[in-house]
Amino acid sequence: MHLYKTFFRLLIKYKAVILSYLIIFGLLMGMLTLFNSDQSSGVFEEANFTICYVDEDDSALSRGLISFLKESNTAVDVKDVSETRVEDLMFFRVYMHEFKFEKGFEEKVLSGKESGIDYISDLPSGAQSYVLANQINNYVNTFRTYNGMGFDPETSAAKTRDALKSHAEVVVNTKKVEKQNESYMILYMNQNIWYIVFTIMCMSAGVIIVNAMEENLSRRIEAGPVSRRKRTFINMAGLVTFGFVIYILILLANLIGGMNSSTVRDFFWVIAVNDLLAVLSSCALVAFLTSFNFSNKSINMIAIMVGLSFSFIAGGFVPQFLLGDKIIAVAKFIPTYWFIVVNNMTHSQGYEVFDKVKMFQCFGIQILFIAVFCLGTAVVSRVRTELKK
Amino acid sequence: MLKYFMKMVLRNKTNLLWGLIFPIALMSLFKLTFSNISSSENTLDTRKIAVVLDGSGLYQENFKTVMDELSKQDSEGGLAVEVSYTDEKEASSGLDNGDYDFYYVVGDEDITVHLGEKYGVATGMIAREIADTYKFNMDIINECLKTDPTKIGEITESLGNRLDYIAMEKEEEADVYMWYYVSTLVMGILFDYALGLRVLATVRADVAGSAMRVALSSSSKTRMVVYCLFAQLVSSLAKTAVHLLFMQFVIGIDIASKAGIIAVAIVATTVFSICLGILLGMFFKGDVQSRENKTLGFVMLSVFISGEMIVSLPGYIEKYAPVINRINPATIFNKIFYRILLCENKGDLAMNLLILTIASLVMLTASIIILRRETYASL
Repeated sequence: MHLYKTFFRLLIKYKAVILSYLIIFGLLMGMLTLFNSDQSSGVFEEANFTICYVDEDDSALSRGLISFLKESNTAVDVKDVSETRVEDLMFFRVYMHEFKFEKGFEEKVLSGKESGIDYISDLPSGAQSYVLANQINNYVNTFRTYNGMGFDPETSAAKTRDALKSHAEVVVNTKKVEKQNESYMILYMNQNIWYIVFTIMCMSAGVIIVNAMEENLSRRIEAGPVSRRKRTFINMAGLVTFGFVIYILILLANLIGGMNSSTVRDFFWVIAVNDLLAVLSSCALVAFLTSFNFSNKSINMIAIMVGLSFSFIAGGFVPQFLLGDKIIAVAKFIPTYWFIVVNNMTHSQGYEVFDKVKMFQCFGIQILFIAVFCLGTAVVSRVRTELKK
Repeated sequence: MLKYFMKMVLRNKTNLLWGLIFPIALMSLFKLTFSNISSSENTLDTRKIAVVLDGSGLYQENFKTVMDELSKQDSEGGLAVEVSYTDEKEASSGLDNGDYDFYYVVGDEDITVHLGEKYGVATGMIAREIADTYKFNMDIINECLKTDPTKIGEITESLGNRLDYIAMEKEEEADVYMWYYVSTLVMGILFDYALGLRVLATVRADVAGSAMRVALSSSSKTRMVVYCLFAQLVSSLAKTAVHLLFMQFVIGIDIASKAGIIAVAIVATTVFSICLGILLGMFFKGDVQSRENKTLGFVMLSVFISGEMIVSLPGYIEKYAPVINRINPATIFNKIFYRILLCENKGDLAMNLLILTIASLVMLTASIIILRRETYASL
């Protein structure tokens, strides 16, 4: 019991690391929830671009075109703003596209010339640019057509706006029913739980275990009346207890953060089991990694590298459906992937239809990973002990 | 003395490896995970479209003609598409299987766009834009037929003779994710604060044991700080050069054509980071590790609010608290590289580099003034 308590006394020394990770994680989750909570599945999202413009022409065509662009985008006049400042605002992504309507723009259009608009964007060949260019080309060509029919510029602009008002209907072919009152915070939090749990455990409890294996310290520990097996057992017990404390905190965060949401109401048991397996697989992987003879600094580096790479590849930071097939094929060899597949089943934005059989398969694979890591830890420890002898 | 400090830097293999490998590993992960999204969202890859002609009227026939014309156009001309004509059942299952990006159902007077459940924003926008363009043109023709049929030939000719007022620049590959790589390079440079702490640990006896021995030397502390800083700077520049080579040859960001100005920016930002490390390290308390952790907290916060994790965050800060963007080192570094890599107008680039240089000199002078007054065991 004395050694067990000592483990936690040492662990408290790492409170700064644990707290800083939790604070950054909390901030990140809050912002992700804030920026993405207006998404909805099964419905077509209207594109809204942030545009700035300079209208040097001030003609019926340019005024009409600007008010047409304003209907579906956020457009701001930057005539009195310096070029450097506009570029700064584009760097900060306050605006994504800039249009300059040169003097004589209407005249050029009516005389059949193509030029007249300066366009600046970081995405010159992207889909956003394609859509904006198409909107502008539609407007100007329609204006030219009406003008060609004999209407004056003012009437042509008014008729063009009327003509471009109705849009084609867009249907999203979805099989699932839109869930009401889903919690985005729960989705994002659980998606990143594996990363945060693993990194915190490796950089605190993992470092304690590695430090105890340092040559000078281990010689002093060896002099004590406690057997090697008992010490290993206590270290592992400390690691798992720490894991359970984190697990309880995760469950509380789920219950409080997802209070009244359908995500927690309908899938709490799924989230609870899945998060438990994530915590246990993190514990097992930390135990496996610390069984090697790494230095204190190296284990910190390994924690960051393994945590980041597993989460990137498995879809923790980028949704799984957006990852390429080759990455998914590799991701299947790590527990994080199976954890995230189940997590995706709990929310419509996860794009994974809830399937009990598949879910239990994912749980089973995660348990297999835990067993493999435990076995690996035992083998490496055994080999190291034999080599030491 | 310089040789001594160079050896010291080279023997610290963990720091060298970490500084070298971490940004490369992060960039590789970005490349692996973002390349798929980047190509689907930000470039005009060929879109596979199914068309369901619900009837055989003029509306359907014209749409078929338009789509056939569009499919003849290659990617150099803008958007490239592969069009298949099929029935709705086949189109729907093809959409589910990923055989098609989207499909159209064309009726006698209207057109409906069908998107898959996991449709990308770019795909949705393009799908609707094609349908809208056709619908607008047909609406104008129908209106003309109702109001003044004599002008139909003129209108059809005008609509057919469509002009492009904004040309798509296909040769320039768009990549919104480029900023993740640049931010990672910036993060790598900012992490050189740790080298500043090494400078501190070399000359300040209450921070590290090795500095106690150095403190007994008769050499001037100013000389020690300058030589140690120079040794750290050389190692850091070598590491950043590797990162730039990686960006040029693996990621594909054009660094070579702006190598001169990039080199100047790298030196200015690296010197700033090291000086920042020395200054912050002096104000924090504890041993090297403890000071390193506290400075790391500051650097991570700086990197976080510069948009490394959430790219739109600096935009929100610019709207509500722009002063943070003006004083945040990571944002200033990012802006410097933005001007170099993407802007014709260099604007405040020279001013930002000058500010960084002056700030570095001020921090270095202040550090030297404080450090040279430090005594150890009354020596």
